[in-house]
Amino acid sequence: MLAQIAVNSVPRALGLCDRDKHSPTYGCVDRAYWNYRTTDMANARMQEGGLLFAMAWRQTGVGANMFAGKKVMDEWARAAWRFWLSRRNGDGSVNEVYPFERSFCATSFSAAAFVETLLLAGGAKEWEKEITQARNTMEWLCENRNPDVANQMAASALALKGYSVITGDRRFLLAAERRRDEVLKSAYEDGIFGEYGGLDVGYQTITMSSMARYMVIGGGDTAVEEALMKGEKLVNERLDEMGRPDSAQNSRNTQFVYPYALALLKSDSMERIMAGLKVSASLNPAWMDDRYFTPLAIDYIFAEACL
Amino acid sequence: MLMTTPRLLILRLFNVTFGRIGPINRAFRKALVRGLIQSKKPGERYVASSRFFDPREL
Repeated sequence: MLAQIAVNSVPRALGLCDRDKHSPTYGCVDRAYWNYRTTDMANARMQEGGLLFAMAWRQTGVGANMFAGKKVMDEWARAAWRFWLSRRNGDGSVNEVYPFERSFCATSFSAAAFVETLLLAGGAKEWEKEITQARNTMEWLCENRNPDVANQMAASALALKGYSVITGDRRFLLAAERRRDEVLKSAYEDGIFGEYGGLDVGYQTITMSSMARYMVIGGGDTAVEEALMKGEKLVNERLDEMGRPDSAQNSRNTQFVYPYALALLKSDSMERIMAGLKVSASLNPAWMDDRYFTPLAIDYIFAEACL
Repeated sequence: MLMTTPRLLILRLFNVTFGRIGPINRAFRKALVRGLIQSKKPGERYVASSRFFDPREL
């Protein structure tokens, strides 16, 4: 069911993407920029649609997936990432809201989605040029951090880890491990990954998803697994019978739940999350805005593979 | 023509100053339509596709 919900959102993501090969903004997934021209720059996070396209292409286990095995999905994924590569700042960072922002959040998450696409769609051999081009983005992530926000730190760890797996470059592996250590050290005794000094169940699950992907890509990590199990217990206690958090109790008032790590850990909460989705009682990608539905849909596909 | 930061700055500056005045606003809009669309030959006009997804593209 999770993957089906995610796949159902793919036409929306494709509709946001400039798919005209002759267009100067081919591959841009920010329609406000390339079509409506209401903004002077494209939001780099929208390019995470590239991973969703690649996943829909590879996702063969879903009942009604018209995108499975369609080569054009791979082309659109590549176009999305080429646009992302072309619109970075000189130092490799990317912008989300304003020019020359050098957003740690957008650089971490979009770079993580970029490496996940590479891992899914052929790795080093198929994407050699793009991998080389992305190197300075990874170098920028090595040098920059935002310790106040665990989810962004976890995404940067995932990006660096994935890039080290693809390239075999030890420098990025060491940087990924340092970043992972920072995330684990910053976690509170009871399993909270801090979001501006407090617990936010929604962002807790984003951090857990990134750390779970970090663990899986690396072939296992006992310390990460222990931290995730603590985190799972905490989330499990805070979801209601429909798998919803109490947003008023969250430090950032989130309503969403990223289920991948919970599914991976076989959390009891998954039963409630699925029950909530089944009766349309809980937030799902279709209810979210253009900016945030894609990452949640991606997480749903990762989660489905663990059920 | 894509939006750029200088174009956005100039446009916003106009919007909140002279653009407040109805006749000037309308004249500006007419000038934009004439300059960006009507003055171009059909083959030279680049208009971003506003198409959404169609399964026949697969």
